Amino acid sequence: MLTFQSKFKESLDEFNSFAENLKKGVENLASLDENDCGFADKQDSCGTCKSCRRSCTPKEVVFQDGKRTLYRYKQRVKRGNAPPILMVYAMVNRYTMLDLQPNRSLIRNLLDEGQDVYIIDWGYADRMDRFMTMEDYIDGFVNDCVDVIREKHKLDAINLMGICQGGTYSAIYAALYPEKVKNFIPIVTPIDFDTKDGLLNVWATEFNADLMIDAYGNVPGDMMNQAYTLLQPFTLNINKYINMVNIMGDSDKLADFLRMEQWIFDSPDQPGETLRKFLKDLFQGNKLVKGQFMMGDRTVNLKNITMPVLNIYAEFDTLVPPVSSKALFEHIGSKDVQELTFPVGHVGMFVSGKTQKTLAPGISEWLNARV
Amino acid sequence: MQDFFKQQPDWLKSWQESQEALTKQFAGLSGEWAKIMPGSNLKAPDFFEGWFRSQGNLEEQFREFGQRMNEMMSNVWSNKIPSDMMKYMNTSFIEQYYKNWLANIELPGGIKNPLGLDGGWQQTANFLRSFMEKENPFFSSFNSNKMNSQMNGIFGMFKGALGNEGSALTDIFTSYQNQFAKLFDSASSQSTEKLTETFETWVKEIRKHLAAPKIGINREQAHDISQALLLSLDYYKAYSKMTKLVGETSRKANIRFQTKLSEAALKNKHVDKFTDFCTLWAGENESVFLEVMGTQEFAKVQGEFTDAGHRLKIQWNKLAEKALEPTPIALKRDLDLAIFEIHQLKRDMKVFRREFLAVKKEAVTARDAQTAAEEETKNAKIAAKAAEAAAQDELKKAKEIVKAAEATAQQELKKAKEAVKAAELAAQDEAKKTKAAEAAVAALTKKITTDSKTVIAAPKTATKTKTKNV
Repeated sequence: MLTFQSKFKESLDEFNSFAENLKKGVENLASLDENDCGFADKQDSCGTCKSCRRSCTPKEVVFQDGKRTLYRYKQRVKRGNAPPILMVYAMVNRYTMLDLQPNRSLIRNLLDEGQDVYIIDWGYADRMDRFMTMEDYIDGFVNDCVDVIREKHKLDAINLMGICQGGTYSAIYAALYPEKVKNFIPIVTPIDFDTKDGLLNVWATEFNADLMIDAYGNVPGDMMNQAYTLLQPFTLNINKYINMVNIMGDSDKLADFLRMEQWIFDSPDQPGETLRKFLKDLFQGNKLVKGQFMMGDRTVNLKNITMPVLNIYAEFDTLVPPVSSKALFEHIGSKDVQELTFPVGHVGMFVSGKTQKTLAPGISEWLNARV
Repeated sequence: MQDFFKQQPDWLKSWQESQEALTKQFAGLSGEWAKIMPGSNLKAPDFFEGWFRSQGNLEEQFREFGQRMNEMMSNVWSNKIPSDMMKYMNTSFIEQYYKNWLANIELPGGIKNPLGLDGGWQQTANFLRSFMEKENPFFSSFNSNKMNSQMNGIFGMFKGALGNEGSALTDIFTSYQNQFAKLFDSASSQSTEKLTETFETWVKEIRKHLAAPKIGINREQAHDISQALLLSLDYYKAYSKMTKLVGETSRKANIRFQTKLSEAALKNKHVDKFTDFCTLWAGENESVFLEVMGTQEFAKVQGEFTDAGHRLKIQWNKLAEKALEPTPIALKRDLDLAIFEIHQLKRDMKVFRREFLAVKKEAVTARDAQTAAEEETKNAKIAAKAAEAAAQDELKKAKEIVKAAEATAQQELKKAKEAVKAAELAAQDEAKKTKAAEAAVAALTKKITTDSKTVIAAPKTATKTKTKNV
């Protein structure tokens, strides 16, 4: 047993190291450039987005409709023969997660595999988007983007990749326009919302979505963030910042940390009508898997998804439980379905060291076999 | 950003100096501790008095550091970092952690640790409440600052819009705000329950007054306000229910945390390190909270709470709209309507644009087809012309050949005719000659005959031979 004296000494040492880290941290904060942390609001290397990091992968605007933009990433190695990929990210956070920094970038890794990558930026919804519906986004903008790419490449069908909520949107799109989708890759995508595995799924059943939308109009991104941090309330609200002190002495780690923080709290407000449908028809009604989900006057039938599907999900996902993603398999019409899983969490799928060398090559190999 | 940090060397320098001084002091105390070991004259309480004074200073230092950090972040990054992130990056709670870590240190000989006496955030609910105060929220959408600031805005609107009439409501509003402020200041679920009872009584009383309003208060407005009070009471009750659930869970979490600490101590594995202590506290609390938060019961309480908050918000918005109706200020519902119409127009425009593009595409395809057909016709014409020219050429050539042939034939004919003529002439000549010969023969014959008369007879053969020669 340690004596009080030796414990005291240990505590003293720990305190000294803690204080030293804080001191270094202050110095590091002083030396970090805002661009390094992703807070820049001016010029950056690619010059296409307002708050870009200096090191983000260059891209160009291909098509725009209001606040929404379609980008194409500039090639890094010679492009292969596979049709281009259109990435559809969730609306609840920003697509920048896919290109957080050079050594944590699914996009960069796909480009290095010779893929031709396009991405949708939903922009920041404001009051003028209050009445934008899911039909406007999926049947409208996603469809426009697909057509633009098809025309540009003179192709009948392109590869579609959807992430999280964007994966659900993509599944709906692929079911409505199967002829335009050559291969479909949903990543950490909720399909079956009726599960007790996820806190959000449980909570969603007991509140009135109409009241929330009527009260707020567009639902503040801040509110959405609070719901996400409540999934791990003590880890995400408290412990993370205690541990921050331990990495403050290392300027690279501190910049990594701040970049991630920037992404986490860069949450656009959610257009009211779109979120209303998402909550009522999917989270509460689970209509997609029941074959009752409507887009305008058309019923979305997942059985129409007959193209090859690569379903990717995270084993430790607390936001989208694996069971919700895996359900896709039993509801679609495709006979060429493959699953790819990683022992990571929802965000870890894109930023963890484990997936940096495996996710993009896995996708690329699968696509190249289906050109 | 760098400039800002450069402007702040004083406090950083003094903070660092204080740390060093305290470290030395600790080292000194550590030495003194050795003296109170068996045989030492120094009494333990004297030692701890000094030690805790130093710890108190240290805690101050942490507090100052945390505050300074927040201040800096806020000043430097407030226009660059999203406000939500600023809110979460609240380093001042480091001080609270530190304080509680110290409070947890087990002292020898049954001496009470003075830092543990106020409990700190060993009571999880208190810690959570401290988060709420700092807008590090547990459902902070409805925390005191937000609700109060919204109410202030709405009441301000009321008063401004109603003028003298509004003053009649001032007392009610002021009292109402006070009641709400108390709710958010409530430290425990028990006191929240008490406040709910008080609020309920107050609401009942005020509603009675509003049912028969004083002169100067519009009846319709009185009814709307009365409705808002009722919804406020629902919210109050839901809040109280949630506080109770969170409070119970906090107590449960705290018991588990304390149990883990005791178990570790029993196994002689004291959780002495600051980071270990934090990790254990957060980990145990989180596991207990997640067990509860994953239940349908929690979802229901949370749902009731958020729904009550939303209903109240909607009602206040409605009241604000009504208050602003007589003014020339654009109302929210008017703006919403305009936005909806603009959106509808945009959507129609998009449909038209799509249709236009489709038609344009068709037109382009048709025009391309027409151009191609025209080109084809042109080419065909050129080809036909060329063919015609070739045919003409061939015809010409043929004609020339025919002509040449004709000419040749004519020439041949002519030649033949000439030959015939010549032959005829020759024949005629011959005929003439023959005639002449015949004449000659005749003459000769005649002569012969004449001669024969003279000459008795000439032999027959000689006559034949001559005839043959002619």
